[in-house]
Amino acid sequence: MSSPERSRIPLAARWFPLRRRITLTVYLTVLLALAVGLAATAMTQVTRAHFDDLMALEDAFAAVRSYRTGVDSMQFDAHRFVASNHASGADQVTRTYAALRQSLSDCLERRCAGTGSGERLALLLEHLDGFNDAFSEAVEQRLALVDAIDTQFASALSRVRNLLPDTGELAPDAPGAEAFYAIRQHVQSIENATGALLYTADVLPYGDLMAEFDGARSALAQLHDTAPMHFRAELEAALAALEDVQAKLLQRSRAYLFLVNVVMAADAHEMQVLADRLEQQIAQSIDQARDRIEHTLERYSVALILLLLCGSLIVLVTGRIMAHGVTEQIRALTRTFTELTAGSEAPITFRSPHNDEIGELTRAAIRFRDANAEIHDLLRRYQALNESLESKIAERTRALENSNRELERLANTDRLTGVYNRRALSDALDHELARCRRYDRPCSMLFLDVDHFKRINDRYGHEVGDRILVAIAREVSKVLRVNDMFGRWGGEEFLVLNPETGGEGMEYFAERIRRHVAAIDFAPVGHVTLSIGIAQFSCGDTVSTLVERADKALYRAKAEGRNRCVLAPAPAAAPASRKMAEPKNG
Amino acid sequence: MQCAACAPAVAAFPAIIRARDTGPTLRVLGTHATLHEPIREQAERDLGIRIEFEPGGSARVLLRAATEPSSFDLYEQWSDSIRVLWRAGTIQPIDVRRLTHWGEINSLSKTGRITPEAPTGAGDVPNTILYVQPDGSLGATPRARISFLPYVHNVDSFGYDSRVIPPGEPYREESWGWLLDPAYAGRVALVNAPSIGVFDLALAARARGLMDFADIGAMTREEIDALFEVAIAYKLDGHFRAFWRSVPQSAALMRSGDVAIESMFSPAAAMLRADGVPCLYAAPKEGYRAWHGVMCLSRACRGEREELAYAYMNWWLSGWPGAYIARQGYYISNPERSRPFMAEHEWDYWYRGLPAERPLAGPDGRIVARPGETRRGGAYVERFSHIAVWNTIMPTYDLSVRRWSELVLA
Repeated sequence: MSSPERSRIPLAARWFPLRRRITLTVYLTVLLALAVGLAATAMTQVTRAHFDDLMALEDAFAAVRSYRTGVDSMQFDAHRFVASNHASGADQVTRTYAALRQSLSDCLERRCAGTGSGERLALLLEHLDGFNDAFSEAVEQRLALVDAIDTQFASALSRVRNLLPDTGELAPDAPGAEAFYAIRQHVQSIENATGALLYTADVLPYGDLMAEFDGARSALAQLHDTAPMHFRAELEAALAALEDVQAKLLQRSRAYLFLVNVVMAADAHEMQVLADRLEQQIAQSIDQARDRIEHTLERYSVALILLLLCGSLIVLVTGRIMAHGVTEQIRALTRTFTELTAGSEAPITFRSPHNDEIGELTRAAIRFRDANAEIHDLLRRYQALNESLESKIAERTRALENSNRELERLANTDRLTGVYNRRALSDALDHELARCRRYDRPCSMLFLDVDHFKRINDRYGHEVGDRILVAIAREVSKVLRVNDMFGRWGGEEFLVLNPETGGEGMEYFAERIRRHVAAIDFAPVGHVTLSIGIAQFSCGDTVSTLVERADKALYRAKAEGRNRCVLAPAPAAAPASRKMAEPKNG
Repeated sequence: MQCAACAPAVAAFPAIIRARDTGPTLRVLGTHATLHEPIREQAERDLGIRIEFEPGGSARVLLRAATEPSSFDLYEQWSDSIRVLWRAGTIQPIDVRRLTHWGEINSLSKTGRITPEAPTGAGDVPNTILYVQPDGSLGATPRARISFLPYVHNVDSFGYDSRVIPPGEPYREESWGWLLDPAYAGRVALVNAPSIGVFDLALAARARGLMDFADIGAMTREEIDALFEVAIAYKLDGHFRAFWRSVPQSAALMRSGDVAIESMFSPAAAMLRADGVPCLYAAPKEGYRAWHGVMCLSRACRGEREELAYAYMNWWLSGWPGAYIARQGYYISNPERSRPFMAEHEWDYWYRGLPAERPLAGPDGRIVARPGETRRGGAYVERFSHIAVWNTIMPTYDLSVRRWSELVLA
């Protein structure tokens, strides 16, 4: 198979058999559908994963917000306890702390707020613990403070008070009454300031308290001449004990206030800041996650559309190639069979490289073509036979015609001279005279006779005589016109039939013949002359009458001396014949 | 250098074992600034006694010291706690005649001036609360009994991240006012201690011309209120990022980038530099906030414990501890005694303010100064010649504590 033939096979047909081509197209379509389905599923999965991340972040955001709220409420409850001594505040702080700690630890363990937030969460937890520790200690110290006030301070205070005389019993003008009043007043101020430690969270400036004690002591000094020595010593000792207790209370309250105002405050502040930052960080992460989802969706959508487009294109192109492979082959087969039906015996260029349905059809076409070739061969052989027969028949016919023509020529020709014989001349005369009669056309006849031929024969023999006759026939033929008919009538007599010629022309023509012949030297005889009788056709003439008249004119010419031309008179008027030329001896 | 100190202890080896087994344990209450495990171990080795360190937060240890004298033998803290403790009566006077190196203690602790020309600074200058006067009060007049053993001291300022804030020239450009510069809003931190932080705020407010004080070391109630109004206004504008409660926290804040400038203790600056953060520990033109460490003897410390306490106090001034704390940037009151315990280049860097010849390691072995680096603020004498104020518990302290939470939570 040559390469141009090969190139006529569609690519698809070269690669796959028919059934596989169809299957392949279907497979490709199914494959495309599967790919699109898979891509869509992947897109859903990825988006869902991103969405889960986003949801986790939203949860974390809510959690961090709840930490913030928890921190605020802890601080508020702590403040309630510190400022208003609400025991429920302390309980609430403990509860909020426990809940917050649990939630924070969980979040830290689960990395709920995403990577990067762990450090802040840990710090938040640290400060939560710090705050709670400080608060627990503050509660403890406050209880200790209350206890110290209720027991140590109260007893030291009552010891001082018990030593002082009752105000009701003391007359205003009694000795030392003023000093006692002053001491009582200072003690009262000290008691008030101490009580305030618990409720106002304010500490009376140390100097002020010292002033109260100093005031009490100087009032006591005023009693030196009114009160007994041991009483004064006892009161002074009681005041010193009270001052000692008071100093301790002051230290405790300072430590307590430091915890509340400095330690707890800083932890609370740090927690707020950390929660704030965490919130911002997570909000940022949420924004990023949203962006990511948006971008992912966008990318996947584009990819899916591209996949669909490219896939469809591939399926379309493949489908077209496959379909083209099928239709092209079917079209070629149709063409082939049409040609075969028309009797084509051209070689089947169509080929199928596979043993498929097309292949079967191809083989059928080849068988068809072989049958065609066989029939054509038979036909050709028959035609060849026929043609040889026909040519033989034509040949025979031609041979027969030639024979006929020769026969006819022989029948009309004088053997000796080769000009028409008497039979041909008679037929021609019949024919010509009939024509002249029918169309009233002129016609003349010359009757020629060799002068003294008998003497030639006698003197030179018949052979020479015959040669002379042949030569005369030849010479006369030279002078004849196209339509003139010339023949040997018999012996040494010749006849010339001149159609369409009459009168003067006839005579002139006869004279030309006579002169031409007379001028020639016929060896060995020498000059030979002719006597010519001329007869012109007239209406009543038949062949015999015309010949007769010509013969009569010839006779006259002979009679008038030979070597001359004599015109026969018309039959009715019978005009006298005229001498045409000078008589000559012959 | 350790062996110089251990030589006598090694010689007395059997006695040490006995002492450890039978003798009382010395209980030292204090803060993380000086209660370091290497110091305790070294002291135990050198003295052959058992020592227990109980470090804690300033407020807590002060409360313990002020209310439970029987729970400790020695108390190490800052000079600003002396008035409280002395008033509380929980510490007893120290007899200078029992202090081996008393004579070596320099003029800063004894007179308040490192040189005769140096200014003393405002607030409780150490010598004014050092000597126990005949009437039981504390005063500047030299006496044989003192309220505390002068030992560790330093000057504090603020640290700043030189990547964020362009470095200023020490004593000329660096200013406390930077702490309140709105340009650094949101990236400023303060120490969470009213007795210290209030001075940082006051120095900053005065440097920026926001207010002035009759005596910055003894602010009146009105001045305190005015100062807090200023600070709270800043806080409301989001100026302060944090109020730190420990040195590691202050370092973490700057390391994370949250904070660019903050009141700072020198070990934090050393930690940051070791971590590669170019933190500069400023030498403010207004002067430093100085502090003086105090070692106090519990009123309840008697007999054998008292002997141990005096031995420990004498050990502290014997050289090794001074060299140890020099490496974290602190000074000792008798520096010459510590000099043999330090390499020449260490002494030059820490005390003389000369460029480091080779990398210098801190107490934890991490490099805190690279070759060519100099200590900001210069030599010991130069730095202590620029004192603005001493850490002090002012009469208005309680008010500042109450207002502190207002500031922090504003």
